[in-house]
Amino acid sequence: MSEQMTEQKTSKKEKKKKKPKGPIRLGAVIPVTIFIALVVLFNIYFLDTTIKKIIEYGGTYANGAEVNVGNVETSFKELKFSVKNIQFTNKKKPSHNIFEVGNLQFQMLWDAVLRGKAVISLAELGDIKVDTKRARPGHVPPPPKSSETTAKGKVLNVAKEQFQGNVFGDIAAVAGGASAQDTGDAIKEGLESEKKFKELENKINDQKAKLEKSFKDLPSQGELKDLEKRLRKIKWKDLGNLAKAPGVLKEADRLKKDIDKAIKKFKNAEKEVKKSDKLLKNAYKEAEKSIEGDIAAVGKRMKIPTLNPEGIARSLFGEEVFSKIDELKGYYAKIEKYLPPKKKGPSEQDLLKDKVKKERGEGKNYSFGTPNSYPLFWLKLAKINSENEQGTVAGQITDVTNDQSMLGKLTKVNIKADFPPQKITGIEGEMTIDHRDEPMATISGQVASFPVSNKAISKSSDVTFVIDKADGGSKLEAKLTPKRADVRIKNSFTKIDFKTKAKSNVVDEVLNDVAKRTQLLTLDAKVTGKWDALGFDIKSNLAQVIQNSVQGLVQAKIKEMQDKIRKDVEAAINKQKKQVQGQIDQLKGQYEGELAKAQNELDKVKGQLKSEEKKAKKQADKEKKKLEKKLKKDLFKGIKL
Amino acid sequence: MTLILKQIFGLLKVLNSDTGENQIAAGIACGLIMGFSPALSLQTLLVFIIIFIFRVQAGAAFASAFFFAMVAYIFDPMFDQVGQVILEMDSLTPLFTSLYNMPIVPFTKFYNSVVMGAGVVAIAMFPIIFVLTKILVKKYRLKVVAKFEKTKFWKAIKATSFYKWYAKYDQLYG
Repeated sequence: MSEQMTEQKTSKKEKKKKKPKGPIRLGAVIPVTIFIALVVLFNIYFLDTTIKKIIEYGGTYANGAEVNVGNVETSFKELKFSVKNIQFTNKKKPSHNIFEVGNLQFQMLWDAVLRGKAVISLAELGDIKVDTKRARPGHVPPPPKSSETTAKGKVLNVAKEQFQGNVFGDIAAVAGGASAQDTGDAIKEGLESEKKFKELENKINDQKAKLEKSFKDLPSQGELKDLEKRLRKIKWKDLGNLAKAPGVLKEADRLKKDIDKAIKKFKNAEKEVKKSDKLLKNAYKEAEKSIEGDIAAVGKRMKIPTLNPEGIARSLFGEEVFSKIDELKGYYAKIEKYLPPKKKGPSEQDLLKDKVKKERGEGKNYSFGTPNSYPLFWLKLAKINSENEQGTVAGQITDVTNDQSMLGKLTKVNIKADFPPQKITGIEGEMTIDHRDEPMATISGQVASFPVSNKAISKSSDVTFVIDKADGGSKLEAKLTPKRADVRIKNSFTKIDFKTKAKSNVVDEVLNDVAKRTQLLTLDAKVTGKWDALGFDIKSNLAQVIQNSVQGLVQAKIKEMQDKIRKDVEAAINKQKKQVQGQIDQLKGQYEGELAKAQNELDKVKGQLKSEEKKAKKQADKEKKKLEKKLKKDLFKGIKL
Repeated sequence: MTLILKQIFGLLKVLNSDTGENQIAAGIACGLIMGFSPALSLQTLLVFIIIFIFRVQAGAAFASAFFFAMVAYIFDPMFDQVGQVILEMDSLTPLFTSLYNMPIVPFTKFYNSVVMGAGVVAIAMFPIIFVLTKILVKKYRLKVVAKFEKTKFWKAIKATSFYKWYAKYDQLYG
């Protein structure tokens, strides 16, 4: 009974177990629910923090100094983001923020997000403050050392070297009695021309080896004599003999060909000699030119000041202008990176527009219009509107995108600001970035007035020439492309209080005089050219004033020192110069002489051959006529008319 | 990897049991679509979700996806031709234009000739493969499994205590 019961139970269990399962995996519902719940929880509790960290990380990278975000709020449904209190650390003054944005709001488009694109229809920036003090100093990471930056840095550093110098210190040294007797030490540091002449010596040896090689292939004296012998051996008299004439002609022809071959070899060698001569002459000229460079370099080593206004302006303001250009270049590099210009070759858009045959297995892509297509990133409009105790900022940024050629719109930035408590007024900036075909950024901006304090014009242990207080104004216009820059900067300073100090009484007097005479200081700079060969044209009225004040004091002494340097440099290099010139002349003379001699001999043999040929031809003609006459006579002898 | 191996062992088990013909056939047919589609596309994701939610034999699906992906590579030129014909049909241009401008849909890459050709061929072959697989599984069970079960070798295996233990374990936890 009990066995039956248990059997029944098991069969019931089996029936229960074998009950057909439905088409849906109910077991999968739990993991899916857990997954969805996790995503929702992440969005509720961690998404804002994650976005905050991303903005801080990316912002720090872009700004080059710590960026902090106060708070981030997101609304997934409306795709709205609100970021509060963004602080951008000033990398030159980490205790302060370069600026602070109180609130930033932006809204994205669902339509674009569903296409995998980020389109911000409207962004609003408000409550902007500048130069605010930070709660704690911001971290400034070391600048990246990518190969690109190093290469570009190298190029700019070359330009930077032009501006090194301390004009007042040098004037003080000259005025203080530095003499022209120390040229020896400055020359000992090395002369570029010396190196060039040394290189020239090596070049001469190379050319000598080359010429020796090509002269080795030339026919030797023995071979030339042999040609002469062959000429003499030809039996020109046999030309009259019909049986022997072809053999003579053949031999004469062979000899002519051999002579021509030898002449060709000599002509080639002559060409080589001329080529070497030209090459060495050019190298010599270049080495001679470098002597002038050496004279200037020795003058610089001896710290002899250049007393032309342009030189003074370059020395005083060169580094400042240079650092502005360097900064501008950095900003443009960022623009190029984040708003990349159109690449050469078909873009993604072009590929979609036209049918393009790709590699096997990839097929063709077809396009069915692009009315609602978006670039990967597009900030349609950002409105800046800030009004607080610090001042006002108003402006707008339109059409920031990673693909301008697709959008067909230019990125434009327009900002106006005033910060009266900081005495910074009349800030106006406009920027247009055109990266559709030929990439170019046009920037124009000005600050009508800003306070200047403790601005060093020249500062060293001997001389201090500083603008203690002044009102500044600045204008900038720039056209930048990946290859070229065209920048114009106009700065002016009024209501200037100078702070001057010099160890040398003479210089102290000069500085005081310059300070008294300078009520308005202007600094105009024009920087144009390729990024790797920028031309700096710097002008300042201060340079002219300094020149006028200093000229009478040290001009004669400078002239004397410059003459001495020229004399000493020329004396140092003259011996080597003469030696090199002698080597070149000797080389030229030797090979030209050899060539002339050999060619004379060949010309002689060729002339003889020609005259013998002529003679033999005449003889042969004579014999021919004689023979014809005889034949006619013999032919008509038996005929009776 | 363990998960895939588990699914393949599951396939062998289901193949040799007397149930689940539809699951296997659906798995093979789904694998056909996955194999013919680009690896990272919306349609692959959709099929994956279907396999996950519905009772489709995942081992069969993955094995057939692997097999059909290799076959697809050989037939790419043919898919390219088919896709070109379809995408160049004037009557379908309005449909494609609206699909092209819809959100999400372009993630299927339907505008590519190979994807379109392979997709159409896969969908057209889906019922054929489904029915064919079902018939083949039935025949396999009738002719191969039944004959094998009658062999002395299998009977000997079945008589072992290890097999009995495994059968019990499978009944309880399998």
